[in-house]
Amino acid sequence: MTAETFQIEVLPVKHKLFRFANRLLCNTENAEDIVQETFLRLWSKRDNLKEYKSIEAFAMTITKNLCLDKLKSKKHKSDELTERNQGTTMDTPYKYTERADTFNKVKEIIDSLPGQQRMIIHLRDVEGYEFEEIADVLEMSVNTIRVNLSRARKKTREKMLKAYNYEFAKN
Amino acid sequence: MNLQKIEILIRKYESGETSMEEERALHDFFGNNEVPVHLANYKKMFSFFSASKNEMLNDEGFDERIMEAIGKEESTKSPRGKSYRLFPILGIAASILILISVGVYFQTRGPQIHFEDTYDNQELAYAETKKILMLVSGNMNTGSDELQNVAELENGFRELKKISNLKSGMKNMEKLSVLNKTKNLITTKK
Repeated sequence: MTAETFQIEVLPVKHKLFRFANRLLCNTENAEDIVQETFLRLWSKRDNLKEYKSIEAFAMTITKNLCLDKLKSKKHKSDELTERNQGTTMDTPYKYTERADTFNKVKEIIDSLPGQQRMIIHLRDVEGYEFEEIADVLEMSVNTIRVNLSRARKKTREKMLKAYNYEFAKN
Repeated sequence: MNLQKIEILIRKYESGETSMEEERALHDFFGNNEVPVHLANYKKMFSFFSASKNEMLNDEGFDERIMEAIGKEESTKSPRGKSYRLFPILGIAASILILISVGVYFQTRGPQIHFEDTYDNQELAYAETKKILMLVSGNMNTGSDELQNVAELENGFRELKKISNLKSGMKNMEKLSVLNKTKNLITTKK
């Protein structure tokens, strides 16, 4: 693969990789670094890229693994909490509006889900991946994905009910 | 799409059993309609999903950075440099292989070179060996006798040296040319 085809065919997946990394790390700066690293790894494997049925899925898998490594490496770092909080309140397209408020609330709830469920609900409900594609990216069976997706959706609904009932009560 | 249908879809959605198409219908519905209070949270959820899709990487200069990093890697990754790094490893591997094969050779070969005595009497064995050695040296001598004919060649060469006398004869012949000069002198004077 030449640098030119790489730029045309592979680089455009960057936004998807970024959203995925950001969902996992809740930190835009780290997510950007991960995306960059993903592309460098893809490039070093450029001669074998044709063997994968979907370069995008392969790229997502690399991003996922890099993110999980990152989370593992800084699990005990004290600054993680502050970084996370920064990530949740910034970078929304709707700043200082009621819609932004809702956006951030739901984001907070989704981001509080366990990592696996968070990845699955993101890939399905945000990116619109088929189950087979998610299975490819996460290296899991379709059935496991379906079960975890169901858990993630139900949990989100429950948490929202709690959050917004609390708001009703407050008013 | 009526509410009843939506509620059925929602239940399916929560069990993870909706198809991509059905989920698109839900996205459409919640994106474009005001919904009753009991579905308000779903509206929020779906609007979050739609809005999330608009989140973009801040890609100012991003492509350039990647392409530059890629270019650097390309230039440092020349095939020569690679083989150079591989060389010591190959050398080590080869020497290990040689050591192992030599070791294996002697291990398997060792016991086979063990000779067994063919004679019980040592003196008989000595006499027999001497007889064989004499036979060999005798044959060698008759062979070298034949080689003396080659010495005859030397005599031939000596005879050939006489040809060098021809050179001095030729020099004497040159004196004849004086005769020719005098002859010329005589004819011009005439």
